[in-house]
Amino acid sequence: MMRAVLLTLCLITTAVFSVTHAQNQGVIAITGATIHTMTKSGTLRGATMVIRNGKISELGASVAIPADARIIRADGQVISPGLFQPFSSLGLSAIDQVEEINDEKSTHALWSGPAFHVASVIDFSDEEIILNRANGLVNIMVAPALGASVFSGQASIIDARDTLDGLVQPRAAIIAHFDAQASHLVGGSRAAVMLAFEQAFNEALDYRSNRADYLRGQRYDYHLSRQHLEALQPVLDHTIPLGIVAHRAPDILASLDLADRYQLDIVIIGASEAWKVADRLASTHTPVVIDPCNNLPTSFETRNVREDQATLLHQAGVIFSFTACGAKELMGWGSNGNAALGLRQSAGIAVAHGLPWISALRAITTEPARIWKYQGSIINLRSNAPATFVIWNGDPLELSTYAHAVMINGRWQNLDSRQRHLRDRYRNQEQAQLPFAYRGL
Amino acid sequence: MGKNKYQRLFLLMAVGLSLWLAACAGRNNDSGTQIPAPGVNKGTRAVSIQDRATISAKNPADPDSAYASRYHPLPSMPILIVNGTILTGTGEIINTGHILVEHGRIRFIGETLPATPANTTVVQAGGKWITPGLIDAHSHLGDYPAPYVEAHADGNELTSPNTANVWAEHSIWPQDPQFTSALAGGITSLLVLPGSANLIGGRGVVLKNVPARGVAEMKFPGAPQALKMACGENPKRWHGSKNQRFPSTRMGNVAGMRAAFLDAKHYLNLNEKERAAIDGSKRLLLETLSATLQGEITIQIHCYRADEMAIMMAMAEEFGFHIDGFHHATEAYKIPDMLRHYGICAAMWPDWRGFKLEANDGIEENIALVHEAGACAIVHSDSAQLIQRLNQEAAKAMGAASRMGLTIPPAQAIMWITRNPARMIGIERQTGTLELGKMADIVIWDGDPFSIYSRPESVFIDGARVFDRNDPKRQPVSDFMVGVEARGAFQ
Repeated sequence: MMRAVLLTLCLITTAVFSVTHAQNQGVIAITGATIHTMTKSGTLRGATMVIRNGKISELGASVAIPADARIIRADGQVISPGLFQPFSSLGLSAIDQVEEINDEKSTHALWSGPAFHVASVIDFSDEEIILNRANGLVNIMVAPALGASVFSGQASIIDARDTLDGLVQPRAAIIAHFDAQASHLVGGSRAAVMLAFEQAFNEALDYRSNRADYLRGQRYDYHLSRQHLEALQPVLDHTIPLGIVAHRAPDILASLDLADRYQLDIVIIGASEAWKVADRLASTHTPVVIDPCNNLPTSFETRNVREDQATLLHQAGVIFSFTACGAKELMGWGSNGNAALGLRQSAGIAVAHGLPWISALRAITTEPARIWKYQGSIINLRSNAPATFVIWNGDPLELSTYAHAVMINGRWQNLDSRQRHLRDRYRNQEQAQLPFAYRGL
Repeated sequence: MGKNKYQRLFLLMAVGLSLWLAACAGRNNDSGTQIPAPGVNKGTRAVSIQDRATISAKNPADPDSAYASRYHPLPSMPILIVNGTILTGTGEIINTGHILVEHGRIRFIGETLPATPANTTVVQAGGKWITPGLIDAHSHLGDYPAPYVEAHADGNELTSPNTANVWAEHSIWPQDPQFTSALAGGITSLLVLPGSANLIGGRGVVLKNVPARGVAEMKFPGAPQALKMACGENPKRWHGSKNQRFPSTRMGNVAGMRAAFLDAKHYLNLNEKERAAIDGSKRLLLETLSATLQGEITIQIHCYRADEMAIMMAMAEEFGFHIDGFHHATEAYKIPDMLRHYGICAAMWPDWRGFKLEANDGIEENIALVHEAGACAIVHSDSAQLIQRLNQEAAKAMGAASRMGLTIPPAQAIMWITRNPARMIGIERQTGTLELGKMADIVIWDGDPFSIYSRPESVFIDGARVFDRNDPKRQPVSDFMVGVEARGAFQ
């Protein structure tokens, strides 16, 4: 006898998914949804997904529903992997302009550089992370901002789970800038930025071959301190990539040349003029992280931006992922909007400019994982993968749809937030008998 | 003496009225553009130099001001747009409708095909959607033009907390390439405001989004200017924290504003001779503030928190002025009853929050809640990125509404970016909806404008096709971008 709990997703609010112990136990079968697996199986319509012990046990159109499954009817709903924000400052500055809680960077030369790492200071209770989770964001690269060095430091990859243990990959990449912001730091020339890169890698290589001598004080005086030289070793080992924020075509080419000379795996971030050097990016298998909304000559570095860049890169065979539309992390200014909404907007705009729909969804789910060599759980949806996904009430690239429910590693996520309480507190005001402080508690 | 004055006034009014009627009638023809000679103002024939000086200082919306609009619609033919899905901006949807445009005005809108004048161009809009031209109630285009270099930072006169004397229009660089990208996003009119570093930042200007050599050729004819004021963190941070001068607190902010309006009230009681004795810089301040008190200039206040908006409403009662709009208004959802009571619009973002403490209580349902409570809700940009995609920003607000069980149909949501901003910035009589006799400011979309996959296909301002995605000859390029390989937003 099937112990079925029937839930019709289109009628319930996400509050039903507020986490209870019972709901996270046992076997769950989600039926009737359109599932974008992001695997070779492609998109399954009217499919069933069975979740057992926190993993996807079965997935397909003709899957038998286990007798002990709690059934969730999701007819007309859409399931996709969680969104992946490939470059952000989420968790580092809950309120940007309140210095006390802003840990994005150090402007002190002593504490700035490749060794600066954010893993230990990410605030998993940041309201912005909570709101992004409610909008379907699951994986986030948290990167430091530019401080006093052309290397902003080491970025982490976290997931947006509703507990404090979302740190998945503490040291995922080193981020450097080869742009106007970096030039400003080193006296006003990109040539000096390149010199700083070369000095750092020369010293890191020398240190690598002569550690013992260095420790005995028998090497020449390095400009970089030991902790910075150590931090650069995983980049030289190809364990982690070097992300370089660069926009102009010549700056991208110079970055490729640097990568060639020092044998580095690099990712170009920003890449406003990437379309002009798409062939070089493709032939060197260099991925880019771009903002498809970036279509304005807001600096002299981005005079040649074009809104259909993603389509051109796709046609040239370049690997790419998207940041949130207007992401401020790229230029040092920009949108203050929700990152998850911004990612969906970026993908949708790329589609409106000719990118195949599935490639756009890939650019905000699986591609960031590939680009950053993500070591966490499998992102795409297939048997034996951890049950991590989002249920949407429609096309996730449309901004008028929303996330019904988010599951991470088999746990329904709590999508509640202070903002939801504020909403409920101030809605239907005519019904209020007492001051609003007594409502929406 | 008195008689003379009245005669002159009457003459002025007559000239103004005839110019206004001429502008309304749309004197554009099909044979070519009427380009005004530089420096030639139509008012010169009838107005003395002294009068012009007085008028210019006071009210540039007056056609006799030296700073009056010199806008002329681009040349146009009569057009008939047929078989489109029309969102009128008045809250209605016409599933299959037609619009006739003649002399830059809407001559017909409805479901039956109208009789058309000779030479009417028929535009097939089957499967397409038609909306009023989008209006951004909060922009800094031209004042903070791209590229964003120091040499271009002309939006905040940072030298005093009260700079009511400055006019945003005098900073505008018409070659800002961001105007044309906004046009490609369907923006036909916009309010360009000074920044928010000062309590009173100066006068904002309403523009028609047309390419021009000087700002006068963009100025929306007959539109009032706007007084930009700012509550909260920005003025006290810039003046108090950064420059160690007044104001350094929120109470200082309010005291600074009240003092300015007290001075303006006093000024209104002076006679001409007494006013002439006031030095120029002070007088320019007082002209702006007194014109504001007399209702000639709209009042637009940058204000995030509900409690501060409430204080602004009290101050409006003290001085007897009407606040037209609160901008950013992240906490508008807490006070929709007050906004309704005072008839104040709230211009908001759907999802910007948390970037400063006064934006900490921003919620994604802000716009939906203000709308649901029957107050005037607006989606604004304050950004050269967002201004290109106000329809998408509105779609975010629709999604947030839907999540809390409130369905807001496209016919309603479109008002957030058309009629309501037109109302807030003082141009609702002329534009903002598709109604008989209004300016033919129209966008034809290749689908539902609230779908992420839809884009404006063509944009009309006063009946002239100013942008067409499929016709490179109707894609204006600023001097700064001409000859540059990439075409940014047009691609």
